[in-house]
Formats: sequence, structure tokens, C-alpha cells
Amino acid sequence: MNKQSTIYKVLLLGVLCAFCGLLLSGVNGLTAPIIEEAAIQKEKANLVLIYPDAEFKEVKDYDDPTGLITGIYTAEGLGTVYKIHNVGYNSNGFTFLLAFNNDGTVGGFQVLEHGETDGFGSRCFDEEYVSSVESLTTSDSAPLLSGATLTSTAIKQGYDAAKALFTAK
Amino acid sequence: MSENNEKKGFFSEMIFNNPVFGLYLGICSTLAITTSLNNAIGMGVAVIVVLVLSNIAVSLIAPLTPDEIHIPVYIVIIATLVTLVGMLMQAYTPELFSALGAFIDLIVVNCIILGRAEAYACKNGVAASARDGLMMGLSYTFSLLAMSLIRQLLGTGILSFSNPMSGNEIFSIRLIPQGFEIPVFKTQTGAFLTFAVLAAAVAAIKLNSEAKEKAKALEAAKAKKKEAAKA
Repeated sequence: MNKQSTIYKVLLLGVLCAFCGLLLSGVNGLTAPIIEEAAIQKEKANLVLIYPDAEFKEVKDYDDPTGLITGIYTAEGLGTVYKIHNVGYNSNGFTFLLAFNNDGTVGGFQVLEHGETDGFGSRCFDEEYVSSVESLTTSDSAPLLSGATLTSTAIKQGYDAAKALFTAK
Repeated sequence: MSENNEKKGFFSEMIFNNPVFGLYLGICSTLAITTSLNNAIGMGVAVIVVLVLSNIAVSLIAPLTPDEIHIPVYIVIIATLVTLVGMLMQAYTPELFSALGAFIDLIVVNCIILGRAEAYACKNGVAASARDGLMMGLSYTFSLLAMSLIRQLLGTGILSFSNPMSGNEIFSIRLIPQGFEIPVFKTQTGAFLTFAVLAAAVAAIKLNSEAKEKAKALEAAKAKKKEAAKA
């Protein structure tokens, strides 16, 4: 076949894309279960950091109009943990856990993964900011942090979404 | 890699053919991820794997590829390899994958990879292309290591390395006493400063070497002239 013909070029690109797609599908089949299992283990490990001796149950039926809450777990007799994903400065966003004790105080604030800028947005996950969030209640809102406005605003939005679900229970 | 460069030694190639400090390629990822030795080695290995495999694939497919579609063909190959490496890293080295973040996906647009495919792999055989990919990848990793050693040491005062599979610390040595670290080296400002100093050092070594070669060539020419005059 003439290498300069359009059919040849389309065929070459088509075959190459099909081969690459098959290869990716094979490797995805191999790695996806491992990635999923690691994510579940990581989440359990973080839930335990907030309520060390609790038994957790996942709440599947909830209505979150903001779309920020990606998971809810109740710690028997202690409180509720909300898994929240929102976008700050990094367009991939970040994920964190926020827990409310049954008395309405914050039970814990734990980041799971983030790509916020080191020294700026990442300050929202430093001890100082985390402890300020952990001292709040359902009548408060998360504080904004100068120099990390986008990240702390995203945390505030997540906090408000979790608070709305918790108080609506 | 030119024949002239192939004759040079391994360490000489690391300096004279260095893609980061010599050719100023792949700087974005270099500045972004060189905060620790772990990041540098992880990114370096990922780029070496992608470079070697993409050079081999490009070398094999180049004779079948018309000029008009060579860029899309190379990009499909490189993007596939980067996605494969990303999936494998996420599954088997999750800590490292999380630390490197978006920069794993951005290997696709790393100038070194498409640059070597265009400049070398499409015109040479499989073995030579694989060697070129390996040498370029090692040079890139060498640059990352140099940057991260300086930044981690000055920024945190500690040199440490962890197992990328488990996250367990292998070694950690404090070389600068607590309170004497320079935190700016953990930020992008520190990355630019470190890069500038290392790039200047490489340029100085190159200039010095070129000046010596010129002097030698002049002396040789003078000696020839003298011999010719005597004859």
C-alpha cells in the first residue's frame, strides 16, 4: 500500500490506537483491583485515626446538593465521619475526612490526599490549621487562611456541606 | 547522541550531554518534584522506563510512518507508556505516586522524550535508540538527584530515603542541626536558585573544557607550522 495514501495513514493510526488501547486495558485489569484495595485500606486506616476503637458503617443513602461529600461513615455511639472532595488551587482537588461527634463538636479533620502548593495551600493541612478546625462545632464555620485562600475556602465549603447533612439528621 | 559524544566517558556524558543543565529540557518537572531523594529516584526511574521503551517503539515504527503523521504516532506511543507507568506506580508504589502527583502524567509532554524520538530514535536502530534512551534517562535522573540532594539537605537538614513500595524508611541522617535549615529550599524559589547554580556550574565546566580543547588545537597547529617551516 502507498505510504502517502490517506487510507494507509488512517489504518496505521487506527491499528496503533487499538493496540495501545488493548495494552492499557490489560494493565488496567491487572492494577485496578490492587489500587481499589489500597484505597479501602487507606480509608479504614484514616477512619481509625479519628475514632481509634470505633466500629464503622458506611451510609449509602444521603442527599448532598453540593456534590462535595463522597462518603459517609458512622462510628457507633461516637459520631459521623464525612469524606469530602473539593478543588482548591490544584485542579485535581484534594480529599479529606471531617468528623462530627454526636454532641455537635468536630471529632477530627484528616487529609487523605492533596496536591496543594507546598508552603501555601498545604498549610491548611499543618497542625496549626487542623487543630483550629478540630476546636469548632456545628454552629461555627471553618476558618479561612491568608495565603491559602483557595484551599481554605474549599475546606470551608466541605465543612458547611458536612455540617448541613449532620444537622439535618 | 552524536558519535563524538558516544566516544566520551559515562560521567562526561552526564555533564556534557545533560538534558536538564546542558540543553534546558524537562525543567518544569525538575523544579517541581526535587524536594526529596525519593521523588527524584521515582521520577528518574519512570522517565528512564518511558524513554527507553518509547525510543525502542519509535525506532521500530519509524520506517512505517509517513512524515505527516509522525508526531501523532509518537505521542500515542509516549502517552500509552506514561499511562502504563502511572498505573503500575499507583498500584505498587502508591506513596511515591501520591508524592509525584500530576507530574507522572506530565511525562507525556516532557521535551526530552519527544525530543529524543524526533532527533535520534526515528533515524537509528533499536539497540542504539535503547542506549540513547537509557543514557538520556540516566542524565535526567542524575540532574534530579543533584537538585534533590541539595534541596532536601538545605531545606530539611536531613538526608533520607524510604522504600517506595511500603513507605518504610530505609535511612535518615540529620546533617544540619535543627534550627539551621533553610526552608526556602523546599519551595519553588529554592528550586530556581539550586537550578541556576547547577546550570552555571555545568556551563562553566563546558566552557573550561572547550577553552582547553581550543588551546590544544592552537598548540598543535603552531607545532605543525613550525615543522613545516623547518622542512
